Amino acid sequence: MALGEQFSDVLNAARSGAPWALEVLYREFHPPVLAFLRARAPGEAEDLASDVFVAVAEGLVRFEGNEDGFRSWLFTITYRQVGQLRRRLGRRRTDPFPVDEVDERVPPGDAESDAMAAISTQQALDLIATLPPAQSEVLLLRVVADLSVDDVASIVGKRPTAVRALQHRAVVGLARRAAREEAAREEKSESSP
Amino acid sequence: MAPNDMPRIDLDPQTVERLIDRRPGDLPPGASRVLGVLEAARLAATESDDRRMATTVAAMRAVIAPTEDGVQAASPVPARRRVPSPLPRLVAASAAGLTVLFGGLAAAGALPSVAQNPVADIVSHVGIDLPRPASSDNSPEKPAEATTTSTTPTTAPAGDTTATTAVTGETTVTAPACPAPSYEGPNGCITPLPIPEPPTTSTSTSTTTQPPPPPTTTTTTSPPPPSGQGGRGNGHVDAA
Repeated sequence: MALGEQFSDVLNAARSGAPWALEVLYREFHPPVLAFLRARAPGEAEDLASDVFVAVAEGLVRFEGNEDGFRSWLFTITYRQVGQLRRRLGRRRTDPFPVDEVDERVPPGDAESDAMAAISTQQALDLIATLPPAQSEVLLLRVVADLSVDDVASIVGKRPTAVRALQHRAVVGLARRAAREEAAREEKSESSP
Repeated sequence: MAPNDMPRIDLDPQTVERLIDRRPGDLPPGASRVLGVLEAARLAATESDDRRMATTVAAMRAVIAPTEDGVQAASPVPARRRVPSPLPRLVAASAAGLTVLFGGLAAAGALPSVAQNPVADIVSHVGIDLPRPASSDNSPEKPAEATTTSTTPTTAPAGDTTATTAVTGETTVTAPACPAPSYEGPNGCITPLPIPEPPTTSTSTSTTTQPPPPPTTTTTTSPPPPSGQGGRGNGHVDAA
């Protein structure tokens, strides 16, 4: 749900510190930011999300643009916060859980048609987090942040063609993990009485 | 099944774009589950979590418009330890290093005279005697004495028949037959008076690489005097 035409009014009020406008911005943009961070920095997601919004408040006066531009700017800040966190943690990558654990986190289902309804949001984010960092970041920015390829390319500092390649490998990687999961489930059902 | 045993699934880029843009249409096998994962991830972007909204919005307000009583709102995240700036230490270390460096130069009298004198004056007030420049004679405006030595005439060895030149421009004679430094005069060899050392101000040209002005040459046809004649060092012209 986008703010649409009321975005400019909300933005102007937020620049002057109006609480209602800041709350509107928070309600609108906090969920995707938090979702992105839950996949990229699971242990620090909530703290980082607050940091992001404080940083947004610091730059509100300088920001010029529409709602799409605001979303792109917001995720630029979010992306940088993750980078700073990585540097603080000694360039340690995110904490993807072992692939073997994916089976246990994704609820079992007998058919692909059940998968859409069965998988939870956190399970989906966890599954995306098992991808290599560059792939998962691009996929999250495309899907969770709902940004265009060009916007994502600008945020991650790569060319659009590189972003398309990364998102392609990410989706193929997810498909392979899903197929592996399904095969393991079938194997388990055959062995059980 | 090990991770490297995962089945190979080929999804063309167009299918991937359709999955991401939510235009699935007819999907190849294995793509439906990916679509489910992506949809679930999208749902995560709509799940509100307002537990921290009040503190975060207060922090945002504090950044935009600090409170009138000057008290900042509590940050929703724990404050990180501030790393002290290295600038003061850098400035102090630089000042100490410069003091040691210039102090040592001043103590050794190695500073330029324009700096050595004021420094010596200043530290003399605290009872420290520093060397001062010896005198102002060595100022670069005046030529060094050593430059005057190059103005002495060049003399040829005795018996040399080649021309010998002097650099004063006033008394230069070629005496091919007389032993140096004598030259042949109308009545025999003439021994020139010692050339006084020119004033230092006139020697600036001698330090250059320009050749001396052509000497005035007098050629005579009289026979050379007998050897051993000619005043030596007396400055007088010997009579034939």
